[in-house]
Order: sequence, then C-alpha cells, then structure tokens
Amino acid sequence: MRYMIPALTVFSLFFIIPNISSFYFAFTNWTIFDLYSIKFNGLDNFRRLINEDAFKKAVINTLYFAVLTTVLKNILGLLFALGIHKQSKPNDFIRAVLFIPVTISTLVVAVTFVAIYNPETGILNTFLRQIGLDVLAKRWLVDIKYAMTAICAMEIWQWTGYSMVIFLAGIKSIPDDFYDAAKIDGANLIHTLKNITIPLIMPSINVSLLMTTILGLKVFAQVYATTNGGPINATQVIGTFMYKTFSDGFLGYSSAVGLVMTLTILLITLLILPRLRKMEVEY
Amino acid sequence: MTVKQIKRKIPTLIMLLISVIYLVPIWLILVNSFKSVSEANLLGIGLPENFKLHYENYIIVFQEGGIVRAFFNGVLEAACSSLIIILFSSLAAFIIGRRQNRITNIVYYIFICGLIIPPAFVPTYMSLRLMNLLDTYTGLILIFTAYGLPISIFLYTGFLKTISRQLDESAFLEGCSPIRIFYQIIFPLLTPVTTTIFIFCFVGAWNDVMIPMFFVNGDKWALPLTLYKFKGTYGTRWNLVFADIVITILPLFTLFVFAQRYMIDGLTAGAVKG
Repeated sequence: MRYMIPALTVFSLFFIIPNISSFYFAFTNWTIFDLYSIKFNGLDNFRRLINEDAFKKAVINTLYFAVLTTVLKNILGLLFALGIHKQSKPNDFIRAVLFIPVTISTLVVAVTFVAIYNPETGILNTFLRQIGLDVLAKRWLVDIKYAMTAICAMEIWQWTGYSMVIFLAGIKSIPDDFYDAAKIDGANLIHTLKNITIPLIMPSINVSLLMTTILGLKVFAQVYATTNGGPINATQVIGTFMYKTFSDGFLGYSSAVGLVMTLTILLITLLILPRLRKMEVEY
Repeated sequence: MTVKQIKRKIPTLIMLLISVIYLVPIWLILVNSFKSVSEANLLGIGLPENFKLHYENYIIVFQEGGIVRAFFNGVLEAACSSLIIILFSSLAAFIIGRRQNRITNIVYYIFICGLIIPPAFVPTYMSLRLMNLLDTYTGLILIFTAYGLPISIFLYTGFLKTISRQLDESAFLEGCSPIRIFYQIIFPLLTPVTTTIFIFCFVGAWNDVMIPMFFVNGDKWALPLTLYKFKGTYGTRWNLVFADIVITILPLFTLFVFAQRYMIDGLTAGAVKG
C-alpha cells in the first residue's frame, strides 16, 4: 500500500484538494489585495457572472470553438487518414509532415498565425488577392465577424494531424480479409467505407471526438496569444476570461469562472461518453 | 502507366499537395528569420533579397532573448516532472494492478477522475502559496507531476495486466522482496510505456502555456513561453521574432526528426492504446 503514497500525496495536494476547495472559493469575495480575509458571499459571484457581457460572449465563443474545431478536425483527419492509410514512402512522409504542428507549442503557432493573418501583407491575403479573390481577403484577427473563425482555422491546422494518427491506428487494425470479401461481393468505395471502415474504427473516432471536444473547451493560448479576447471581447473565451479575472486579482470571482468551466467540461464529457460507447460495433 | 495506376495515385497526390500547404507556415518562419527587418516585416514567403542571409538575427536573439536560461528552465521542469511521474505512477500502478481490492480500486478511480476533470487553477494558486512554493521550480514541477499522474497510472495499469503474474510469484518464492521484484523484474518490462509516458509528459510540460503563466514569473518560463515575452519587446521586428521561433521549435523538431515513431506514439498516448 505504501507504494501508492507518493503519487496519492502529490495528486491530493495539487489536484484533489484545490478542486474540492474551488467549491468553497467560488462562493467568496476572496481577492489578491486582502488574501487572508476570505468572506462567504453566497451567489454574488455567479450573479455578477450572469450579468457580465464578456462572460456571456466567452461561453458562446468557447462552445463555438469547441464544436467547429471538433467537427472539422475529425472530418479532415478521417479524410486524410483514408488518403494515406496504405503503407508507402510518400505516405510516411505526409503523415510526418501533418504531425509536425502537434509538436509545436500552441503559443508559437499563434504568434506565427498573427503574421499569416496580417490584413495588408500576410500570406493568406496576398494569396487570395493573387488568385483574384480580393473579396475574401478579410481583416482576419481584427474584424469581430471573422476573428473567432480565424482562430478556429489555426487550431484545425495544428491538430488535424493528431486525429489523423488516431484514425490511422484504427484503420491499420482492420483485417484485410474484410476488404477482400467486400471486393468479391462487388462493394464500391462508398459501401466499403460505410459498412466496414467507419463502423470498425468507431472506437478510434470516439476517442478522437472526446479528446478534441475536451481540448476545444479548454481553449486558452490560441486566443491569448492572438487577440487576447479582443476586439471588444469578440474572441473572449472562458479560459482567457478566467485568466483576466485572476490577474486582475479577483480570486473568488475567478474561482467561480473556473468552477463553471470544470462543471461544463465534466457535464459534456459525461453526456457524450455513453452515447459514443453505444455507437461501437463488433463484427 | 495505365489509367488505373494513375487513378490509384490520386489520393497520395492530393495529400502531397496538402502537406505542401502544411509546410508553408514552417517555411514562412524559416525564411523570414534570415531577412532584414524591413523585408521580414512584409511577412512574405519569398527568398531574402539578393540571397543575403542575415545570420545576425540569431546572434541578437541569443543576446537579448534569454534563450539559454529558458532552454534550461524547460529541460529542468520537463525532465524532473516526467521522471517523478514515471517513478511515482509506476510504483502506484504496480500495487493497483497486482493487488486488486477495495482500496486499490478506489485509488484507481480517483486517478481516472483526473483524466476527465480539468484542474482548478485559482485554488491551486492558494495551495502553492500556503506551502511557500509559489514562483518556485519545485512548485511548478510538482504541479506538472500532479497533472501527469492520471494518464500515466492509467497506461501503466493497463500494461501491467498484460504481464504474467507468475513472474512475480516465482521471484517471490525465490525470496525476492516486493520492491526488488518491482525494480528488477517489472519496471524493465514496462519500458515501452515508460518511453511513451516520458515523451508525453516531457513535451506537455515543455509546451505548456497556462500552468507557468499562473504559477511562476517570467524568469522561470520555458522556451515556447518566452517567445510571448520576446514578441512583446521586439514585436515590430519580425525577423527577430521568427529567429526566436526557429530556436524555440528546434529542440522538439530535432527530436521529431530522429525519433518520429516514438514522438507520434508518445503524443497520442492513451488515445491509441486506451
């Protein structure tokens, strides 16, 4: 038993106890200016949250980011995986290239995309103008209409390779006999995909969906290093809002934001997990 | 080549085109890091004017960017936390996997909850403060350790179940103590998972943004985060920013080139095996 003590001690001190105590701190007026006088203030923090425009925007943007990136990362990841699932030298190279962004810190990716999205000389708009699509050359991170979507696109560039690798592992585990049998029965590509590949890689799809959803809900650095929530809160997400209230010194209030985030992630995970499990099949 | 053969190559060709698009941002970083200020600020992807490479950008970044300190910060924090995670979680998983009773089951589920529940940053700030660990390397390393334990215990416990119990039993009958069974017999057999966990935790800590921002000051940040500080100061000189980015991504990129399979396995830990 004593072998479990080191792990349990560290985990309790820095994870369990803080998580439990957030249920207390979220209901207090705790600030950094008067650290040791913490007073219970009931639902004040939550009332303030509901009335704060920036927080409403943050919730909507976080959900928008999570849904849009989850859907596109998985669809593109699956298409990419199907495109390169056969073992060959070029395919190995492509797999490596698409995985490179995963190894780069989100913050570095964000700074790079600030350059790419530059409205005047950034390569995205330069390219769009060159092929005659001037109308599409928007002020990406500056225009409140496009800023959030532009950040989503950046995230999709970075993480699609991750989902792709998960799908590739799933596809690899399907026995060749299945495809041979389908060929003899005269199944075309769509049939094979719908009746063999997709159902059999359902466990991989579920893992990827779950991971991308949680990652999406935890969005922080992507926004912090590009727009930091601006212009006028148009890209505020829960993560940046929590950091803002924390660095402003309102610790109790910030705890309340954190608690909302924790409960949202927990709720969504517990909601989709059993549904995903039901979609798995065995042949 | 027959039509059929060409048709079969189409997916690969499309994917090659996509990987070229994927490489554009990387190329943008690399080429602009060698340009002069006025040229780099145009943010284009053309070659430097007259093919003149401005190496001095790198020298300036080395002098001004605090690169060496940030590099060793990252190595220290990422390596220490990964090693502690491996030590603590393999020990715990050894008991959880081998002695299945009510207590070990409860402990296992506590750690599994940590896979789903995100950490509570603000109360953790208070914990660190009370322990006098705020803005210290020790505090940061212990936070990384705590956040990495669930996935490692999950992976180790899963792998331990595939190792035959007869090994332990025969060693025990030979008079081997449990701790020796663990580090002489079991731990070496866990090596594949240990590599995976090491890469997963090391890269995670190295690239993390939120945790160092919450709990330590800028002088203890690892390379990727210092880029943010650097851009704050030199944001109008993109040649320097890009040179800083190249230096920042170079360590993990080198690792990726030489140990690609391990990196991919490591970073998708749990996703593929779980």
